[in-house]
Amino acid sequence: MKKPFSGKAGDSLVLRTIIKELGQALPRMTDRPEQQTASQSNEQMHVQMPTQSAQDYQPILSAKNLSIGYRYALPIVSGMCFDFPTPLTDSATALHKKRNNILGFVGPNGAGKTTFLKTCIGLLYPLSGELRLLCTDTMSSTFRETRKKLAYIPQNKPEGNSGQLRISVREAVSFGRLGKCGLTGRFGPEDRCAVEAAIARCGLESLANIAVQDLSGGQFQRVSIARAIAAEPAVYLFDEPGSYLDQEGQMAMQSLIRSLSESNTPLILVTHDRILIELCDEVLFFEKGMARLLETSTFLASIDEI
Amino acid sequence: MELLKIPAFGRAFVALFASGMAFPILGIYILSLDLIPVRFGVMHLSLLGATIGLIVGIDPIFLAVLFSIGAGFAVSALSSRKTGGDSGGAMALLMTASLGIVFILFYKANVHAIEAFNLFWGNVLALDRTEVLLVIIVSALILTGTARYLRPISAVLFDKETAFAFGLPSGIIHTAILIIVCVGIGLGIRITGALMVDAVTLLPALAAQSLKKNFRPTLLLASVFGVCINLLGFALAILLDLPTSPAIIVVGTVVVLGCKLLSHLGQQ
Repeated sequence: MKKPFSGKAGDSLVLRTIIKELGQALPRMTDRPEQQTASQSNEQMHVQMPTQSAQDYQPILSAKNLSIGYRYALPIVSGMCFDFPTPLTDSATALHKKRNNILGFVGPNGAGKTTFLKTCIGLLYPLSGELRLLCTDTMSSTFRETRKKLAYIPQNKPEGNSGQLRISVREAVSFGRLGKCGLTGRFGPEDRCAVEAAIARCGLESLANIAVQDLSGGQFQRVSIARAIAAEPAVYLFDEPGSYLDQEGQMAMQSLIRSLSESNTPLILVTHDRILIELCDEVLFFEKGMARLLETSTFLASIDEI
Repeated sequence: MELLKIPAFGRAFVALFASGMAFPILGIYILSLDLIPVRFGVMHLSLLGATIGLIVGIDPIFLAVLFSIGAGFAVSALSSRKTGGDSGGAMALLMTASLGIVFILFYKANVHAIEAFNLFWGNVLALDRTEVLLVIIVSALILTGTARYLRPISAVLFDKETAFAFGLPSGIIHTAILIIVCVGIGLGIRITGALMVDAVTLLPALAAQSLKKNFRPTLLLASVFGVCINLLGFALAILLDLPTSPAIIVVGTVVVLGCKLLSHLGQQ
């Protein structure tokens, strides 16, 4: 009998072990919509967003023959081709499954998940091929404007937040508005409202004037999320949101991310956390220098089988 | 006060006041961006520039600043996202190479010992009007630039990658910070000498940071400490007939230790 996942912190360890064995076990899914086979079951099909018809379909994230990695080094992942969300093949027969617009990056450590997330933001350049986020080429000059619509939540650092620069929680959250209010960083009433609302949503009111260096890892991660919320972004990009957090911190993180997913703003998550993976519509599975876009249910079923 | 009427002392007073107000802000940048190893490289490159200036007859401070700006661009390129590299190792190499070349140049060009000594230990009393003007202009640039772009600067100092992801031109801001730090170090060579540039940049910044205030008050405190350390050191040098730079360093060290003690007592 398979042991069900409980969603506890230890599960991510189990998941990482299983993921290593998944390369062979997973069905080889085709990446491009035009290549999708008729044998795809109805369960694997999506229902488009209410506002999105098949004609005006625009992927949130798409890649064509993309290779990623660091300059002057071998590519970490190559030949990536996908569109997220996968477009409808037959909207009339599709099951009415609610779509959250959440994409998970999953796979073993060192497989290229964080590298790909950084490439999506423009922190790294693609080695070859094309990558589009919100329909903008990440290499184009217009991507700077698109970046202002993104909210990146970096990984928690194991050494904590003991940097030299002491700033208050409120100031750290306010950085989320900088993309919108220009280089001088002058805030209007709207910006101040957005900052206060984000602080309240993440339950940081009592900590607002405390220096971020004096916070715990979980509290600091909440500050990162509040900063992202303050940005009122078009896409959230999380890099292992539960890393280095205790079980309580992980649960608080999961509930915050779940509440964000309900706002219908697309989310991209690098994660090993089963509970967060379950929130995803699709997952991009990284392994052995490749990445495949899979239905979350297919991915999880394969894990459960193993 | 009578002494300040003598042009050399008057110029020294103005340069120390202006640099004392602005250069500690550079110290905060150096500490926040962890540029301690990098600044060694920049210091020695400026020293090389000043030495070449001395030999070929160009104002040493001009070449020192020029070489520092070059170093600033080099550090920025080495630490950019395109190369994904770390500038620390390359600057350490540059530092050693620069120092080697400086001594070869001193030896081969028969540079007068006092002139070489001035480059290493600085001589604030030897500043001319142009050099003082340069110090005032750079100090004004540091103060106004920091005041105007405080929030984006603090976002980049806090986390460069995240600031970039939120749409800030963090690469440009980072390069601008590096270049102004390098220019400050180049100018500092003339005031306190290559070996004691830290006196006008890092010591007041360290004193302010040890009090564990938030970013804005820390900047303000660093400026106040900078002016006090420079002017007290200068006064001490005149009163006790000491060389100015070492006197400034001694006062700076006492202030840093005092602030650390105060912070420790406050915590207890």
